[in-house]
Amino acid sequence: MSGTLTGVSDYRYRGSTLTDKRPAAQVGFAYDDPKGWYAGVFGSTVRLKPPGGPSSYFQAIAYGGYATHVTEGLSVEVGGDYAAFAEASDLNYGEVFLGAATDSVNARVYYSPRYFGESSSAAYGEINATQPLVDRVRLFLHGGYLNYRYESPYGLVPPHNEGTQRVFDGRVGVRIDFDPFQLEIAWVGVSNHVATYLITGTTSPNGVVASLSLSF
Amino acid sequence: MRLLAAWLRLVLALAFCGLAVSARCQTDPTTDAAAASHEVLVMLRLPPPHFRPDADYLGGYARASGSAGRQRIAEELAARFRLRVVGSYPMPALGVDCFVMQAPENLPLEPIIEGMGLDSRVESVQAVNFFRVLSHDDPLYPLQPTAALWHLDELHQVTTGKSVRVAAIDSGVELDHPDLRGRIVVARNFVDTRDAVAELHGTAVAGIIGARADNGVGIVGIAPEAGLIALRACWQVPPDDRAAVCSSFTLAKALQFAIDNNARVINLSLGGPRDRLLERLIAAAALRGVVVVAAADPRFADGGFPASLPTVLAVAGDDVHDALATTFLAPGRDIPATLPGRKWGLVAGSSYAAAEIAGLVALLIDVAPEQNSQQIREKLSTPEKAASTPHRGAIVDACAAVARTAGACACGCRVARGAPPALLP
Repeated sequence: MSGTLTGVSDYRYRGSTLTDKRPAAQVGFAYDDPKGWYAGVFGSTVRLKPPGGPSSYFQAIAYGGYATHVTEGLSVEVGGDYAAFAEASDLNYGEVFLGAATDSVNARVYYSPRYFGESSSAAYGEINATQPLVDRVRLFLHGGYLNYRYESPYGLVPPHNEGTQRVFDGRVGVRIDFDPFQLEIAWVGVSNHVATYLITGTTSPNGVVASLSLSF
Repeated sequence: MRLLAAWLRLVLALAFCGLAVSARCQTDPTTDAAAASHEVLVMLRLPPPHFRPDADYLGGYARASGSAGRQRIAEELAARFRLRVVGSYPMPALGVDCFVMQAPENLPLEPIIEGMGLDSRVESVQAVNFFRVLSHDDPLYPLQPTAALWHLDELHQVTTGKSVRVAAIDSGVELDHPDLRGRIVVARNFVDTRDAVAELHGTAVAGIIGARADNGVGIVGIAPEAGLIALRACWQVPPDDRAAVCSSFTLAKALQFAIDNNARVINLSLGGPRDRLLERLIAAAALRGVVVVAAADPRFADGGFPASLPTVLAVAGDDVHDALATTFLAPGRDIPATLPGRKWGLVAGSSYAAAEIAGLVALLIDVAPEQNSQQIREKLSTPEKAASTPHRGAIVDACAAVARTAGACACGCRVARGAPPALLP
C-alpha cells in the first residue's frame, strides 16, 4: 500500500489542460500485490467547463491490472481504468490498456469506447523513457498519440462534426528526488491546442509545468 | 486565484513537513565489521512498472512510488524476527528492493533466513558476506610498467577511452587529487554517510584506470579520458591502510548504481565468498553489455569470487605463477599510482593489474562500442603468446588487442612513417 500527495502547476492530461492552466492538488493510493496484480485510486482537482454542460471541479480515477516480468529486464501489464467527474457524470469514461516496460522505457496503448463520455471511441498510445542524469536527477521523455473518432454533432474540435482527430502530445523534463519528495519540471507540448476544447472549455498552449510530490 | 492560494499553502506545508522528516534511507556507518557481520539482506519484490496516474511519465519507475510501503513491509518483517532495519537500496536491475536488517549478537541467522524466505512478499534472503581488496606490498621499480610494455603513448594516439564510463567499486577515492581532477564524473559513498573519504586502494585504482594525461605531474591513466565513476563500497581497516573490506550490501548498491549510471566497464579489485546477490547483479550487468573486470584471488585455485564467474574477466599480476589459463596477466609490481594526500607512490598486486585491464577494456570499447564481454575477451587473448611463456595465465598484449579492435596498426606504426631508430621500442 502506498500513497502520493502532489501539487502541480497545471494538470495536463495527455497534453491538454484539465484545470484551465491553473494549479491542481492531487492524491493517489495504490496497492501492489506480490502476485502481480495492482489497484489504486487517484483524485485531482480539475476545472472543466464544457459549453452547454455542467462544470466539474474534481476528477477521480479508479484503476487496476496485472503486471509481470516475462524475461530479464522486460515486463508486461494489462488493466483498465475508469475516470469519473464530480457534477458532470456525462463525462465519465472507462478504458482498457496493455503495456510493456524495460528498465528505462515503457509503452502503453489504451482504448476507450466512450472517451470523455462522447459516443465516440478513442485509442491512445504512449512511449515514455527515463534516464538518470546526475545524482538524484532523472530525465524523462514522453510522446503520446491520440486517435479519436467522433460521430456526434458535438465533436471534439469545432467546426468538424465527424471524422478522426489525431493529436500528438509530448513532454520532456527532469525529476529531482529529495526523499520523500520529488520535484518535476517539464515542458509540455500538444499538436492541437484546441483538441479538447469542447470538453474542457479551454485551449492548451505549450508551456512549462512543475509539480512537487510527497510519497508515503 | 483561491485555488492557487490553496495550492501554495499545500506546497509550503509539504516543504516544512519535509524539513522535519529525517531521511529514511540512510545506512548506519558500517566501519565496525564485527557488528555488521550479523546482518541479513532481505529482497522485497519491486512491482514491475505499471500504469499509475500519479507517476505516469516515469512509467511507474519504482524509486519513489511504493518505496514507503515496502519500508513498512520491511519493518513489519524485521519486528516479527526481532531484527532492526538499518538500510535499504532499490535494485531495479533485479526487480527487488533490498533491505539490510541487523540481528542481535546471539541470534542464529539460518532460521531467520529460512523463515523470512517463506513470506510471499520476500523475493530472497541472504546473509551479508565480506570481501577483501587484493594487494600485496613489493615496491621496486620507478617506472609505470604499462607505459613501456603496452606502448601507452602510442595507444593513446588511437584512443583515450573518451566515450566510455568506467566504474571503480573500491574504497574511497581522493576526489581532489591533482591527477584526478576533472576525471571523476560521479562519486558516491555507499559505506557511510560521509561525503568523500580518501583511501589508499581506491585512490590508486582510480588513478591507474584514468589519471589525467599531459598535466605535467604524476602518472597517465590507461584510459585518461574515460569517465570515472568512483563508488566507495569498501572501507579501510586499520592499522594497514592497504587493506580494505567490503560487504555484500555495499557492493550490491554500488553495482546497481553503476548499472543505472551507464558504466560500460566495472572494476572489482576484490575477492570473497560466493554471493548470490552479487552474482545476480553481475549477470544483470553482463546482460546489459557491461564488461566486469575482477582481480583473481590468490587464495583460491579458480580465482575466487567474483573472478571465477564466467562473464567476468579475471586478472592477476604478471608475477603470479599459478594463474588459470583463462586469467589475464598485466603488470602487477611497482606500479606508480595516485595516493591520498595528493601524492604518488608505488603499489603492487593483482588489484592494480585488474585496474590496468579495466582501463584497457575502456580503450577497446571506445574504438568499437558494440562489443560485449566475450568479444573483449577474444581481443585480449593472444594464443600465440601463451605457449611461449612459463606463466599459465594469458599475458595481455595491449597493442595487439587495440590493433585487432581498430583494424589498424596501433604500435610501432612509426616504422612505416620513418621514425628515427632511437624512438623505436
